[in-house]
Amino acid sequence: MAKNKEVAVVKRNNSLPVARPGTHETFITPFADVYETPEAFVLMVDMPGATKESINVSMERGTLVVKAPVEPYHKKNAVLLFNELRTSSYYRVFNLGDGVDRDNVDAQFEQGVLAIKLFKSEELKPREIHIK
Amino acid sequence: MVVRVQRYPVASWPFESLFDFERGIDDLFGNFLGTGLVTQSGRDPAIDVAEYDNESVVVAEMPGVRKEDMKISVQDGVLSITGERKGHELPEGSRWIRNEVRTGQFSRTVELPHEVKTDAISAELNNGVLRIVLPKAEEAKPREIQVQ
Repeated sequence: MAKNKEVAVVKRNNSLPVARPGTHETFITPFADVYETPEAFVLMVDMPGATKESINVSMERGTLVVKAPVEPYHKKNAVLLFNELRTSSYYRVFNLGDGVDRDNVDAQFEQGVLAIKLFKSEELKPREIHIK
Repeated sequence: MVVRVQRYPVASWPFESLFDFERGIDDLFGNFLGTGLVTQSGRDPAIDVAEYDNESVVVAEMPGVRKEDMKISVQDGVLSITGERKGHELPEGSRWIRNEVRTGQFSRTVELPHEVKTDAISAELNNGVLRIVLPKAEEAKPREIQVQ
């Protein structure tokens, strides 16, 4: 099985909007679960309020970037009596190892959770060696 | 844009940010006492309450929670949202690399900001966001008084 470094996570989660380096844009780093199965790495990213259409997943130079803008939850004339939620864009970068098959990636969005399945490349898959 | 990448975790400090530190403190003490001391306990959903002329809307973020696994009730002027976020069942031969998402039971209660038409309350769950609309009872609506 691959070592832990195969999928290392770059950004630390933080529910408060943070400024993206080099821009004035702020974003929320969503929480994520990552697990490894014998044939794939699976990322589960919490993105409540995003939609299937608004989410953008891209792979560039060994990273997987997930971003999505979030529409404000309230109309303009709302009087907020209690406010814990932040609406901002979601943005998180995952660092990928070499063992990921870039042409075989599967993404689904359900109940506010984005599930990305990154299939392993052939050389990383477990394999049995027959003794002659 | 340059994204700085830290490939191998080197920190010996168990908390990588202040936020993590707060979560750690909550793990130690907050959940023990039943509520978050420093931050909202990670498992309980964050909420907003917005008031309009004819209604109030409670918005709660609850990604990964199924409709069947939550219960919303109103009693004695208090709205309560309880439920459970089920964890993923890992397939055989799998292992966690990172597990940040909290699962388990959650509960939030909100004191109703005004008299509510209880039989007209509606709730919908969309993309992990729960919206509960609480229509105002007639006596709670704003009213203009004509000067005679």
